[in-house]
Amino acid sequence: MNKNFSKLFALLAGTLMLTACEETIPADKRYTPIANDHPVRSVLVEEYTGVKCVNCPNGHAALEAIEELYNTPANMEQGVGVVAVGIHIPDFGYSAESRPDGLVAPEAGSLTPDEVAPPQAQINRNSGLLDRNAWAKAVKETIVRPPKVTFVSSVLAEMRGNSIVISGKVHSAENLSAARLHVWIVEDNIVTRQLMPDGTPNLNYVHMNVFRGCVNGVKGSEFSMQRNSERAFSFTYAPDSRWKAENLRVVVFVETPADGVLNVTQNNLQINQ
Amino acid sequence: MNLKVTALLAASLLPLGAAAIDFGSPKNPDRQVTAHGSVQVDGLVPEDEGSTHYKEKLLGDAYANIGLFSKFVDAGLRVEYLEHPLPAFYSSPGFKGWGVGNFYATGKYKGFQLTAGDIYEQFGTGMILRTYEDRALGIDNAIRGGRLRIDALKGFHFTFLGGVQRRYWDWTTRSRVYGLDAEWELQEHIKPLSAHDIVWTLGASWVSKRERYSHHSDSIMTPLPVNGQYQFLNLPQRVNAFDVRTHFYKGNVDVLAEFALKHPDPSADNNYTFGRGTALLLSATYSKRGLSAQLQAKRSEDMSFRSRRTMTDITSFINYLPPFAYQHTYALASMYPYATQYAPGEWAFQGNFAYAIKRRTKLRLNLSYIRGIKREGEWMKTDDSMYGKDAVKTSFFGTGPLYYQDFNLQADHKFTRRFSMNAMYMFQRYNKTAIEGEGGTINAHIAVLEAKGKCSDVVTLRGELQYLATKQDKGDWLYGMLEVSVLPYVMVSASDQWNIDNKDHYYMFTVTGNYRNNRLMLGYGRTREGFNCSGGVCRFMPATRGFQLSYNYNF
Repeated sequence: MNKNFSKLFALLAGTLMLTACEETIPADKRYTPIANDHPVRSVLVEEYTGVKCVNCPNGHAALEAIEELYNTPANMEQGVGVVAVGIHIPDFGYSAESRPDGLVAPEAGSLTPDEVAPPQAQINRNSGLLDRNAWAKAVKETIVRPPKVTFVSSVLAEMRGNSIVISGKVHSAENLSAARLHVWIVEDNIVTRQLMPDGTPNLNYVHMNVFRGCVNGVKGSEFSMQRNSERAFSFTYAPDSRWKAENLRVVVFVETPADGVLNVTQNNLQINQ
Repeated sequence: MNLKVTALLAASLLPLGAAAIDFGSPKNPDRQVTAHGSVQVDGLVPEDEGSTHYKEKLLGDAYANIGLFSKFVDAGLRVEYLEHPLPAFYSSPGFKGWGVGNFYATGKYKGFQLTAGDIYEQFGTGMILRTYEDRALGIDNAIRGGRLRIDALKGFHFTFLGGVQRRYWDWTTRSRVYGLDAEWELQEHIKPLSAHDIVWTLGASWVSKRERYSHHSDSIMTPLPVNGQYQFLNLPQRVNAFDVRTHFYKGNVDVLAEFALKHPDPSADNNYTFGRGTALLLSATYSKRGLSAQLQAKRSEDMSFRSRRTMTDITSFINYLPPFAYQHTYALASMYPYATQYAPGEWAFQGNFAYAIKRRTKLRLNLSYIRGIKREGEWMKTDDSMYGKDAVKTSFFGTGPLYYQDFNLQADHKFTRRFSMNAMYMFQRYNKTAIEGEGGTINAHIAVLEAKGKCSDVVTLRGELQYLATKQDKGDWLYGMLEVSVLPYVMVSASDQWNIDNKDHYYMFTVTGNYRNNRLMLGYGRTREGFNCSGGVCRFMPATRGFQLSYNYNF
């Protein structure tokens, strides 16, 4: 009897090792290409980041790859593509008000969701917080949906004296109520420190898409529109003297509580000599 | 009446207490049913601490358990209220919620045991399966399904189980876990073994995870273009893991050897690479009256085994790798706790020695030494370029960077029947960059002196003085604690952790009362941010300040 049980055990142990086969996927079968769909709108990517966040350089690289894919000259000419804004969050950086190299804008705390763990982003304010390996997919799914709101020609952003003057026009294909127009200032090519994935600081890291401030307040400007109508907007803003005007651009987007961002556009600041 | 309301009503009956509920006469003990349970409530009235602000005025976690036990049937449930969780869990997506977090019913008859509901189980040392609850870390990875245990055959033990794994309040059916474990006690069938008092066990286990996905809804997309295009990853929907082990015990000697193998399991932990995971554990212990010695070695690689491949926090683990770092309880000694490196792997060695001198003095020496695995290139926790590629080749015996080193010597001496002291010296090296992501390597010298004296039969006084010296991180720390106990009812304690360089004090005052089955603790103070670890699994704890309350009731 004991011999039978020991044989049974050995058989069972051997069966464990052999029955469940390894699900092997050869190297050439591990990828399924995703068709590059034709984008029909712009998509806002709000990236939550910080100079003290060691994984954030990977987030920046992922976002840069997405911008490269969609922001082709042809798409930019049609006003479609990806509009990326990097919001440096208070817990992971230095305040711009207290330090000359600080990238945390005064409004950043109000724009940062409660449970964010950078690098994370939300796409058009209706995706929820996403980790960086989900950004490309979310952008791909969003960029092919026709927008309900369009911008009539490019938004104009001019430096006049010490002020930035912003003007533009919005067209809506549907009735809009409780919509909000947001106008932000973003700066590129800021060279300052950044913690890298290996834990060491890079003192000459080039930061792109850095959120600098809200032109018309954190909550934006509320408005309503009738279907197939246009609405003009105009703002004047005094930028911080430490910002480099040639690196600034303006981001404008319209959102509703129900649908998130309806459309977004951006334009570089024109400096009239 | 819905399940949540029913459970709340059932939980509200717990304070009635229960001893034995006898459905039959004393002459029929087979029909006797016993109830056991507990209530645990932990609360905090938070104050702003640093840049942290809480909207709620009161935060807390509450648990109520009840179990009914009889000869043939056991059943139980646990109600949890976690709607306003404590700071450690405040920012964990999915943690908030309330309801029946755990329930089970077990039928037992002549060596057969069948359980339906939530299952806690461990195969061997847990290297391919361990489901457990740890409230301090917010871990409950129970499998909800069924388990059959067969102990009816002399010397043989079999366990079959299957179900879905819990992650906070989510029991997704997209991922299922199945397991089979077999153990053979050789001494039951080989007479010379039992004649020489040898206990020798052979064990084998298999665990399989099935995780469905579709390219349309929940696929993994490469974060960077591959061959000029973004790609969906084609991932194995079934991952198997195997474990074999042998445990030999005779007299003063105990030897354990265990090996585990996991099939390719691309996940967020290993940058979605394809490679087999392995773990090898060897342990030898010698102990006799007044002397014990233990030597252990472990090599593990890519052994992060989760029911959800996208998780990167401490949830959804199917397995558990035993920690090889000494689990310290002194405050400053546990300042830099080691977290087991599941995905990158490690070579870990540990030695424990204890010696008693004439009953009054005990000496303990512990050595822990943990290094990474030698591999081509450097391990990067997040490497987007590796998605879908083969795992990097590693050297079996080669070691990588130092992760953790701990040498500690403790001496415990009883001067009189009423007075004893414990002293410890510890040298620690902690690779904060590898373990936490940044911070370099910290070298720390730690000294601890603890004294305990009985002033009378009911009054006991205990004091601790600790010092941590380091040139890295936040510099030196000093810790002092005084505790007065009036047995068995009251204990009052006051402590302060002082960061000397930054002139920061983390003070705590507590009063604890015990009465029969009740224990109530009230306190006020500050706690520093840091990692709370248990068994090599760690959760980040933010800094807090405020009034604390903790209540426990057991019956």
